[in-house]
Amino acid sequence: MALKMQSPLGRARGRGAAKSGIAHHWFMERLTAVALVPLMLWFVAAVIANFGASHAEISAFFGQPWNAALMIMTILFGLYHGISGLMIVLGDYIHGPAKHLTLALAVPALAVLAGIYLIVCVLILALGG
Amino acid sequence: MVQFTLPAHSRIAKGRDWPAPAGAKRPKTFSIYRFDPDSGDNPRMDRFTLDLDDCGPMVLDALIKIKNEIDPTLTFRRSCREGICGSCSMNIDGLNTLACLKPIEEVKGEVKIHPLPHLPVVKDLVPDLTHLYAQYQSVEPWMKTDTPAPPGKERPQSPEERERLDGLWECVLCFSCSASCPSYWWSGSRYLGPAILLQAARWVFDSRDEAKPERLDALDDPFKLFRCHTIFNCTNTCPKGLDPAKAIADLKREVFKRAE
Ligand code: SF4
Ligand code: FES
Repeated sequence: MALKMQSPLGRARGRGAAKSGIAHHWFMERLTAVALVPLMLWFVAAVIANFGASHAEISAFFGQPWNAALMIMTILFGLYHGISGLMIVLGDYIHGPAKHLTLALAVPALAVLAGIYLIVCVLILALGG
Repeated sequence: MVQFTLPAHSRIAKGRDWPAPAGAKRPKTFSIYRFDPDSGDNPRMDRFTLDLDDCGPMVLDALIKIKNEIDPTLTFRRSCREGICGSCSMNIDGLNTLACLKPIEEVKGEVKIHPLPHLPVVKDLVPDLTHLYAQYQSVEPWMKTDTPAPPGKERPQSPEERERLDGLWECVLCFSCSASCPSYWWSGSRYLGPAILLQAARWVFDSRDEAKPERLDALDDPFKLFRCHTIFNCTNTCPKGLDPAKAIADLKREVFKRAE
């Protein structure tokens, strides 16, 4: 191991503050958490109401603009909230810039893909597909 | 990367057993973490049984008695023995606290004593606080002003402005809170931890200080401040009854307000 002669203060200061707008993400985590409370209630109710429904019935359900809108909001807020949580977990447990950066880019990219895919599915159903 | 198991050299062995003195009426056993870096041995738990009728009421009294009368090599920090210097912080019965404020009677059964968790151990109950002190220095815990003080007078502060510092100034820097925080355990090299952040808040919210912008700049960081995940171990453990979790929440809000 390399000899470490850096002063304790130098080590404590490190690279200083990132000033990367983290407070905004911190706020969005809380905002999406609050929004997800009614959205999840609606979602659970929707799942129960449509349990065992046929493809045509589901399609008709999402044909109602409000149902499609609420579903898309649930997807967007849920993914945003889930991914921010996951990013924090990565920051906590994956140390080392290379590993962390790879995951910090890959995870949101996958989330965007998943989000677009799910929204397209809802739209196709809503439009009678 | 986070580590969940102890390195082979940190595993704790069974140590010596010192039996109760003859005729002890109220025997109580203290199981104490011992580590001597010079011996090359693994840490061990030594057990000392004292007679409570012949011992002061606090855990620190027991430690002093053991050091004076049984094993003079037992090493721990202490000074004021009344909860004001912050030196005797350690983990007693699973909770970080000040040994001089912890009544022995509060612990049921054996009194297990370890050094503050997740810090390098210098010897026995003495942890290495170098990094914590350096982090403390990094938040520049002193008044910074451009306006000179009124000639021959102190800087004025209204009673309300002074009240804002209640719950912050009382901290004795024992680091019980930081050493109880999982976020500080995992990311302590970059996360400042509850003790330092409470101190940072003590200056951020001091109406006389004029360096709030640079103080908040220095905290606007995913690690230094926002690694706090509101676990509340800090508030739970603080032997002075302070609320570092609230101080941290206030700081986060203060950083957030700059953009809104
Ligand atoms: S906030 Fe409480 S536990 Fe933390 S360092 Fe100060 S006195 Fe000790
Ligand atoms: S000896 Fe000073 S706080 Fe315990």
